[in-house]
Amino acid sequence: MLEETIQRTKAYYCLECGICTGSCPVSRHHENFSPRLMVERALLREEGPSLDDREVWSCLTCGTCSARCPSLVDYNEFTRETRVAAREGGWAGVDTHAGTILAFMELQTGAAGKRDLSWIAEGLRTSRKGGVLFYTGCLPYFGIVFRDYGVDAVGMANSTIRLMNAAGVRPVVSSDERCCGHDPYWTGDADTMKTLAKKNLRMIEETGARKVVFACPECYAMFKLVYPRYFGPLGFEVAHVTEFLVPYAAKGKLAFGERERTITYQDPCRLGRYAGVYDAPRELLTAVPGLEIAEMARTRAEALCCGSSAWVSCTRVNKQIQLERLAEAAETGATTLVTGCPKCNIHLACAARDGDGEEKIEIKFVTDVMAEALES
Amino acid sequence: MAGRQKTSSILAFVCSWYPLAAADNAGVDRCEYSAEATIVPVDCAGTITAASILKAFARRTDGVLVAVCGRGDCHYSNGSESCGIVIDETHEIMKAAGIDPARLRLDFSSDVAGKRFASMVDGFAEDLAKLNGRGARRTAPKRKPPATKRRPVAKKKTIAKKKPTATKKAAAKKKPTATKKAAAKKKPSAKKKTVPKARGAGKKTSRRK
Ligand code: SF4
Ligand code: SF4
Repeated sequence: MLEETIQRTKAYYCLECGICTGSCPVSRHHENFSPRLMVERALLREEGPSLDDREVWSCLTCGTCSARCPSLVDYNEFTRETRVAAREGGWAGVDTHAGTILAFMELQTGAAGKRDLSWIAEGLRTSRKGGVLFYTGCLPYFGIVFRDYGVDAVGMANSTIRLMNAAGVRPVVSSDERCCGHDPYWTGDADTMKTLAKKNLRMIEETGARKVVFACPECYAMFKLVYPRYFGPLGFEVAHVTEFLVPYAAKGKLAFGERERTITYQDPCRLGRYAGVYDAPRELLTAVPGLEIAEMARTRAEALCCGSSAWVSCTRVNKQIQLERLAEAAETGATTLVTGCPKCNIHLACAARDGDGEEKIEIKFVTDVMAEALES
Repeated sequence: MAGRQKTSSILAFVCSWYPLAAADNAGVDRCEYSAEATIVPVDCAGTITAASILKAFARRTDGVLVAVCGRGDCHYSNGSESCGIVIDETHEIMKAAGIDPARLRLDFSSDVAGKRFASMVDGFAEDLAKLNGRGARRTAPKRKPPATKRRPVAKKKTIAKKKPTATKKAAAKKKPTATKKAAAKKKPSAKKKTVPKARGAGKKTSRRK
């Protein structure tokens, strides 16, 4: 197992340069966490990658280290496979939110019935069959769990549909949709992901969709990068909502009204470093007349992670990363921090709520900003 | 209920104060009630999480019953109220997932009468049987028999405790079933191969040194 992981992730190429640890947002705040040491231990097998090590669960799988590694060691995959082994050995991380979120994901592997779609706002047009499907992911669930955090996740799904409608698209929203399995997958539970993936692929086939649009970059990255590894090429195209809308905005099919404001943009790990989408959200945002983007010091491939991932391990360290990012966003002078990922939005809003109130910056999801700017 | 077939599985989280005393009194008073309920005592209903309930459903339990001390009667301070909040949220999640929220019942009561407890469980069992009859039954058929075989249950739970004199508290301590820990371990979870010990189980141990 360990040997295979080392082979697959090219860990044997490690030069011990320490660039990973130097780049890691967790290591910056947490002296015991070092990706370099994790790899070294695995290679030397002296202490092995100790599966009972709680630091196995501390990595954000943000991809900063892998993006910078001169030897191209895939540290994210290394972490994931270590988690699979740890899980097989009976270990698990500490789930955030008392495990609620991972539990409703597990629920969708079988016991769950047809999803309730009553959250779709009145006046929006959706259909049951058609060429374009909007994959809503966990947004309806997050809407329940994070209501008290001042985050309206259902609103994000509705604003996505509103934008698609404005572009003349009536998306399929299916009650047979299931969680994409991102979080179980990254916490070492590939079986749950596979069960969910099969249901999703069947659901998409049944609707006849040729194109699937995602609001959440994590779902998007799963479909784009992980599903094909397990199930072969997908029979449909995938696009993040920003990628999907840019051509409509460019052709003038989506018209936005004047909005004088300066925003800054948070590149989500999955959309940026994983899927390589940096320009689409920026192009879409700047399609709003008067809207300007003030970039943060660390942006695009260098962007700092929102500080928490896969609903495992949320500690003092994660909070510090989030406050660091909020401070960086505030420094740009922007009034709004726009995120390309609903989860970044949730985690950063949570930190802003917990923080001492110094980071006075509004946090908004990209489709909410765009739908507000629609010329009606 | 005599002769009624076993139709549902019920996981009953029972707060260790009033509700568990009531459950015990049901045994002491020899009240018959549905054998479908597996009683899991919890120290305080305020410790029940949405995850423990959702996981029970994920592993094909038909219904979850949460028996809590009456509002304002929590032995600690606000366990009943916080349990109410958790159950509200869980109901919403169930609705979103297409599981009838009626499959999760919250019973607030500081009444320790065994009879009331027995009829409350029976009432829930009957409602569940109706729900299952509506074609919404999501249980058994797909189960892999060994993975989900529940511990064999006697047809009727007539708790053979012959000490009607025991005080409620003593009775509560001497619950006829396994100890709390053992009972907790027996939660339907644990058996699915791919999931190690249930998430919670690893928590203690995943802390290093
Ligand atoms: S993926 Fe991110 S959090 Fe994990 S070790 Fe690399 S830089 Fe650190
Ligand atoms: S940052 Fe907040 S919302 Fe995100 S996992 Fe941690 S506690 Fe939950």
